[in-house]
Amino acid sequence: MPDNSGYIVAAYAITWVVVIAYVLRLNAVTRRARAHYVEASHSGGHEHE
Amino acid sequence: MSSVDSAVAGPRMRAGHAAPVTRSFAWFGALALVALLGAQLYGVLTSPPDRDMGDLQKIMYVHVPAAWNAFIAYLVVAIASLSYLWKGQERHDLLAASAAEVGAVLTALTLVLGSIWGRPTWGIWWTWDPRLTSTAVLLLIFVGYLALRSFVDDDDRRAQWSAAVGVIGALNVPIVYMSVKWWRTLHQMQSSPSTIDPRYVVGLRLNAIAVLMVLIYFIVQRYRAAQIERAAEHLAERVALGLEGQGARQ
Repeated sequence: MPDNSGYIVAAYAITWVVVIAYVLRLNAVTRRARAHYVEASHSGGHEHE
Repeated sequence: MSSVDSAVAGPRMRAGHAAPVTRSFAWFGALALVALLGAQLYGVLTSPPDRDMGDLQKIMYVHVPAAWNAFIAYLVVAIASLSYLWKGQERHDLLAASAAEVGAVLTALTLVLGSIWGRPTWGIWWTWDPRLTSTAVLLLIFVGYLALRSFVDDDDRRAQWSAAVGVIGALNVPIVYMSVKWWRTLHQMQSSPSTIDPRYVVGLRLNAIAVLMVLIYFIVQRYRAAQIERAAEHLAERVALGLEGQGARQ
């Protein structure tokens, strides 16, 4: 049977790249949303906790 | 009520609310990633080679759980979309959109992993097999769903159109699932505990549960970010209308 280890390594590597990339995207989206909220609050003259 | 709860309360937010501070869900994310790593190691290290595919069988532990959990994400989309159409609550729209995004990511991953598995097994990266084609259509529908959300500015119209597309798109899931039974072509029958060698069942179940944990973490985090973003939009609208600010608080 031919050595197919490259395909197996690629499958697992791509899985982790996608998972980590989406975790990073979630962090970025959340940070951006919070920044928008703080900006809107400043415009409204709110104090922040 | 925590500060984040008040911050993401949606259109009926009160004046004088605190800055958004999301309650940490990072511990669950870390647990999900550790579970994923552990399940994958278990599957890779304990599975004997398959009689026909050899060690390529180990790709099943990433390909199949990704597909199953994409289906679960679309089930969430369908339920949340129907809830929005019934009750008109913004949080259902945001939940549907969050699940749709995660579902699209998992569907794309499923297709890529299937392609990597197919090349040494079938000798081709891609073929217009009913299972592959219906999965690609499913992905395109939800990419379209996400594109639709970015093109429509009006909140109500975007939510209504998205809910309709979400429900119709989710109807494709049973077609994808049953495609290997209805049209027997190249793709093998569904990999499930009832159709695979018993020696692979535990590894498959562990990996399915681990990816389910990752799915839950992704959807919850995406939903929370969407809530904060929507709260910021509503607050900005109130500020622009002069309903928020120094004058409004007096």
